[in-house]
Amino acid sequence: MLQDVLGKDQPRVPIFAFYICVVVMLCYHATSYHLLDSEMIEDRYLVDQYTVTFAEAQYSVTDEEFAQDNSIYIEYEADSSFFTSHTGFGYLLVTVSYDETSGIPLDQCDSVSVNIPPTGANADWQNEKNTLSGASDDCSNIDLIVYVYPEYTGEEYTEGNFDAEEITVPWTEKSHGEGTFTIEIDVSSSSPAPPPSPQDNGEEVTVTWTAVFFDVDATLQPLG
Amino acid sequence: MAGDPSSLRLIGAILLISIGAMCLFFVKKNDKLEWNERLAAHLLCWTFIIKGLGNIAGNYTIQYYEAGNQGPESPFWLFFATILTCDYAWEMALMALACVYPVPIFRSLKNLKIAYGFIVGLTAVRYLMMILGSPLHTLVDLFGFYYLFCGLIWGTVYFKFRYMDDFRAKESSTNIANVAALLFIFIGGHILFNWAGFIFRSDYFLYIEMMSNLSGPRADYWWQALNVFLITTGLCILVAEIQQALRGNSSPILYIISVYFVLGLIGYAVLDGSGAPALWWRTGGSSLEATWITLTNSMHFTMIRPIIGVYILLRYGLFETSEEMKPKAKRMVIILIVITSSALLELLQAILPINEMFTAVFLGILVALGIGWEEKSFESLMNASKQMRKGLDARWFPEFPFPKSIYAQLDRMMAALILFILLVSFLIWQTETMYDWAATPKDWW
Repeated sequence: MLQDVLGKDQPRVPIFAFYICVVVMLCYHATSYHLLDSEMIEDRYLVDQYTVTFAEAQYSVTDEEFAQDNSIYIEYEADSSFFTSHTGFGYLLVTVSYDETSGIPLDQCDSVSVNIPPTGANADWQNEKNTLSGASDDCSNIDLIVYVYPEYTGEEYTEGNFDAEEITVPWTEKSHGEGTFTIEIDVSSSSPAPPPSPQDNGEEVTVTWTAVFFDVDATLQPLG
Repeated sequence: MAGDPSSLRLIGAILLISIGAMCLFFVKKNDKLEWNERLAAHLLCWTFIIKGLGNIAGNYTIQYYEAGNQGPESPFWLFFATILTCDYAWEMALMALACVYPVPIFRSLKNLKIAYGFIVGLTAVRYLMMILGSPLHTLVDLFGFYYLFCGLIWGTVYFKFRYMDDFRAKESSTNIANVAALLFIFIGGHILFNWAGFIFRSDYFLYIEMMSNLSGPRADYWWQALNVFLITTGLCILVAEIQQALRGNSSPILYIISVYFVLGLIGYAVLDGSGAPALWWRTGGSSLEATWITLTNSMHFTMIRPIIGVYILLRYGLFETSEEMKPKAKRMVIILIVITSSALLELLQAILPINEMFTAVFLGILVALGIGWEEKSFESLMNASKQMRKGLDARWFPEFPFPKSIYAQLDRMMAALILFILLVSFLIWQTETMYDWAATPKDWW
């Protein structure tokens, strides 16, 4: 075959010109890659260190319900605009507060127990730091927390990578936090004396939902 | 689906698979082919199917990557392994194709067997290395070697026959040169877009890596050198075509390759200084660079490759063209037109804020025009000169006594290879081989 292609019976100049061009261009590239632009290319392989920070924004909503001697359910869904204006939904703080409001002399605080069932919304329900239930019988607040974005703590950390985008992209999943959170509230009211004296028939319970959204930022650390 | 480039990637992949399967049907019916044409037609069809499968895997790999889902158990590694295993088979089929088409480059069956033995052996080594946990070890498996192998063969064949002085063989030599150039564009067209970046030493070329952060400096150098080889071959073909056109001997290759080089020059203005490599998978963003890459590199992968492939099959007589088969072949061309038109509009919708109603109307017009065009152009394609042997010395086309059953065996082997690819990819995913490999530093290769 080589004899046919490079034989003297036909013009050989174009083929040899093609081969020479290939060799010249490969030499040109080798010079560029190993000498002229080597620094620029080598920098490409240096793993940059990025400081990853989270700027948090809190949005609170308050619900008030009168709870008698039974369970009540209050629902919360984060506004869809928060998802578009922030990188992700970090965690949800829930504060349940109540006071003795019966006005009956000597009436003590009722017992209130709350529970957030791990259903409805898309959250990190298995996170060990979650506090999904609580109780109070002295009118103190009950504080709960639901971690929404997996592995989110809000704390700054350092990561080595070639590209800032590769660090931030995993924090941009919008499905975390979508759906409806529900809190179940049980009130067990107690009266200072049996009937016919006035009876305490329930409490006004206030639930404050604080959704903590975050914006992630990866800043390149200066070379040491 | 607007704004979602994954739909474009999927449409392109499905297009490749469906065209490959349909073409295989027509090729098998064609009894008039010479041994090398028949072998080439079968191999070309299988390259469509294999690359289509690889592109589907590529699409999901990108999706999992973009979602940050790359844990050891993530299907990311299944799809990533499938890309590589498909690429090995794709390279093997194309190297086998280059050995026999448009002209057989070996003069004896023994030499052809040795060449095929080398190709199959190289592919076996690649699969073995992948299973053993060391894919992309360029010093041994020479990933991307087919660019050099096929480019050198098709480049040489192109220059030999484009400059052949024999008047009696003009028709055949022009057809051979055109097929060689088209096959070259088929495999390396997306790389030609980066020519200006190479010549002017721009970052978007010099940052090109074989496999993103998973390949080391030596692998990346090898990969860039292959790119340089393809760009140089393309430039030489362009110069040759201009020279021939000035002599009054122009061919369609001049217009086709010019488009790649003109777009490459415009691309330099868009991509220079972007600080990122111009790679086909960097699509989907809203930036001008991402849009440009979608319209050029990605377009070549999804749209141009199947069009060039079908053009070669139709134009150069690898199809059965009897009156009985013509309606079926026309139907296939119509399917190609409809899918291509819808994919093109999907692409435009993904990057431009066009109303979906408008694109639906536009699709209707495009399909109507396309089918109208198909009637006319199909006939001209069928009636165009398919001569590749007339007037040429018989030494260019040695006769090898291949039994007809060998082509059916080839089809069965390729189908089995696809099953093997899927099995190997699945095993690699389950054993976390790729994940462990990716976590290993690769500074030394």
